[in-house]
Amino acid sequence: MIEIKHVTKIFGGTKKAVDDLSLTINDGEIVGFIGENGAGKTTTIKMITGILNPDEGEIAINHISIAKEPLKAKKEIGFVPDQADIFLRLKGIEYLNFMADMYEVKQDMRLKRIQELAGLFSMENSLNDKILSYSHGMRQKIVIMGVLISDPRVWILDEPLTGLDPQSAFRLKERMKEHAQRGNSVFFSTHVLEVAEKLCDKVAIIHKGSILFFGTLEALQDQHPNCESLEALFLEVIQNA
Amino acid sequence: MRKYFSLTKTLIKSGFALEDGKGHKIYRILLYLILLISLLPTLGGIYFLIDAALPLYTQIDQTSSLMGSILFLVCSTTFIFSLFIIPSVFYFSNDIDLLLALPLKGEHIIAAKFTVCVIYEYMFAFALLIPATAAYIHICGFSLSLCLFALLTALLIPIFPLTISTALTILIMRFMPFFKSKDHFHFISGIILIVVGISLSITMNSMQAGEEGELLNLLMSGDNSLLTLFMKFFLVIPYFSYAIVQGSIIDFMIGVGICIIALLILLSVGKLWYFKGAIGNSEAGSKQKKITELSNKSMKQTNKVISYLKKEWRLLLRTPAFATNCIGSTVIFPFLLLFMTMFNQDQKMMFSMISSIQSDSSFVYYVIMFGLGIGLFIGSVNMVSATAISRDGSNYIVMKYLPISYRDQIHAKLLLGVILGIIGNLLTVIALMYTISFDWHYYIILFICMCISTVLSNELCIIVDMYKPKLVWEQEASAVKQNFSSFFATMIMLGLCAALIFAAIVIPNEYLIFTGLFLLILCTVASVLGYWLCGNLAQHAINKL
Repeated sequence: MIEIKHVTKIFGGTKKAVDDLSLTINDGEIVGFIGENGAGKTTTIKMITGILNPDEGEIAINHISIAKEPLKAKKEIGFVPDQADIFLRLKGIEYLNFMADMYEVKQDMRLKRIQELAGLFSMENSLNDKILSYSHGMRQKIVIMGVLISDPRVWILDEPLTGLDPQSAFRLKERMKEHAQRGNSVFFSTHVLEVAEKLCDKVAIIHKGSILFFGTLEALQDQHPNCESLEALFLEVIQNA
Repeated sequence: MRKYFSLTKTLIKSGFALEDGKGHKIYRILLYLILLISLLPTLGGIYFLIDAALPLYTQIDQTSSLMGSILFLVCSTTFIFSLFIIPSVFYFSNDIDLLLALPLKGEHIIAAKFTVCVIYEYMFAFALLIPATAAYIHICGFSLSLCLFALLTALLIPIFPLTISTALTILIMRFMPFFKSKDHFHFISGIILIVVGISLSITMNSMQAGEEGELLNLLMSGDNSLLTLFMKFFLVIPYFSYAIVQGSIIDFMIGVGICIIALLILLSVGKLWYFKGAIGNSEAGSKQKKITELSNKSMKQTNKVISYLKKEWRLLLRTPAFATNCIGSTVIFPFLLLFMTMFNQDQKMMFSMISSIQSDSSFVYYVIMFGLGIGLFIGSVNMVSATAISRDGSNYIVMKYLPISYRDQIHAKLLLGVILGIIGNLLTVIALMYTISFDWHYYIILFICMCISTVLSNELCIIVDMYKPKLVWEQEASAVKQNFSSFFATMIMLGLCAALIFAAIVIPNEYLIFTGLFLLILCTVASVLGYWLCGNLAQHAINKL
């Protein structure tokens, strides 16, 4: 569960990147975070994961405050950042081992999970290579594998499907569904409205740092009966803001 | 031409900042001012050296030759450093794929990148020519032509050595595929630089002893005869020397002509072979070896700090720019010490003199103070801790979301610097064992003192980097080489090292006991406190990043 209460982030003393934002992502829910470039998606995600500190408001992961107990809260989170160029000179297997150490994954468990994830993302032939030699999509896969290896309860993913091949994107979406069905939370940002439409229980539309809509797609459609697609809905919500 | 200027401007802006540009404008001006002030002693030293030598050169009719030797120094320094800069700018920069796809002529890219390299090299040219011109004005009197030609020469002199190294690099990258791997290139060129540096040092030392007679003959023949020697290496030197010293416009024009011809040749070489060598250079190879069985041993769960330390070590070792600068300098210093004494008679004598005074009762305190001083130097010169956060670059956000405390992360980074510093200390002591014969217990005292101050030095350096890291960089080398705060921290440590050694020499024996013991205790307490302080400041500093 992710609870965001009245969170504000100001950059440079004046620019409000996020303005009094409140969201609750319950257990068992997949929530898509939609907005234009520069709307405040990544800033919000960075505050949830503890990378940035909010100027106002509170954030709790599974009832643990990220500000008061950061280490405990971070252990609950699996975070996929928007840029996948991480520790490029480590080998894939070394990166996974490092992440497993950071999240204190037991030896027998990490062995099992690495084998399973390598198969899931077709990475068996690449784990012995340096990440530097990977394509963009493969780098994205290794970062996702680094998150899944600790099986965290809350998944926070910033543009997770960018660069993934269709097969891996499908498998990741299936894993997201399974994860939510097991009573965990998934919160991810995306520009691909189709993905949000097919995958999410709820969507949050952010514009200039404020939430314009948060709820189910059905509720959004009820508010705008003339719009036939999520794309049209999104554009109308933004235009009316 | 407009495309060339626009591209040059963009390339300079994107790669020519000492810090990440986040700070206030006044702060940035202040930084450059401090950098300038820190260079003043060096500039002053060059001025006094030339000022003292010039009357002697004038007496034997070698006035232009002295200017020639200064220009030779500029050209050779430019040439050696460009061997590293040219591949980075022309082949291994992140912009190459984008530029190749833009509707730009080959000449535009080559000329713009070449201009960037020339600007990089201006620091050496001006650092040597400003004090040299001042000394010439002081001895030979002011003349407008002297100042004007000195300024124009400073702007033009890097061109000739750079055309040679650029053409050389283009040919190597086109015809030697092994060098096309960025990692291989940096590693091999790093080793070559070390070998060249040591060879030069040995050659110069042996020249002093062996070829003094020949050099003297050349000097005594007058008529600036020494210039013929420099001409063998860099054709433009005599012409620019005559232009500055004798105000000869014809010589200056010949110098300019040579530079233009060299540039035209370079553009032709570039048009033929640059693009063929540059395309596909950003790709890295992979073995695609299947992991059939993951062993329990390789998957062993490790303590978080140790795992973090291992990650830091692997990244340091496998990133050539970091390995050559950080690990390389740890190893070079002891070797230089060894080579210096092997080939230099004066130093051999000095060391044997030091060995002979070890029976003195206060000798141990000299050892303590020298040990503390050298330890500070070795602890900072490898810049491992001084660039601990900067080396992460944009990956610094990983520090912030991993479930490991900032304190532990900083301690792991610090530990790496301390371990490498101690290895450097050990190698230095081994080199000293070869050069100076002490009682064995002096080596132990020296090593212990060096280690104590190495810890302190690493702690201070990491604190500076925690608060002012350079996180925005295009090339990995910039995190180490163009990092103002790391340079500043290292300079402070070098200053402290010099102060300690100077104090050991000037303090009378009766006070030396007290001073030595006091400093040893102070350093020990400070390193313990420093460890605690690093951990406590980590939360505050990293939160602010």
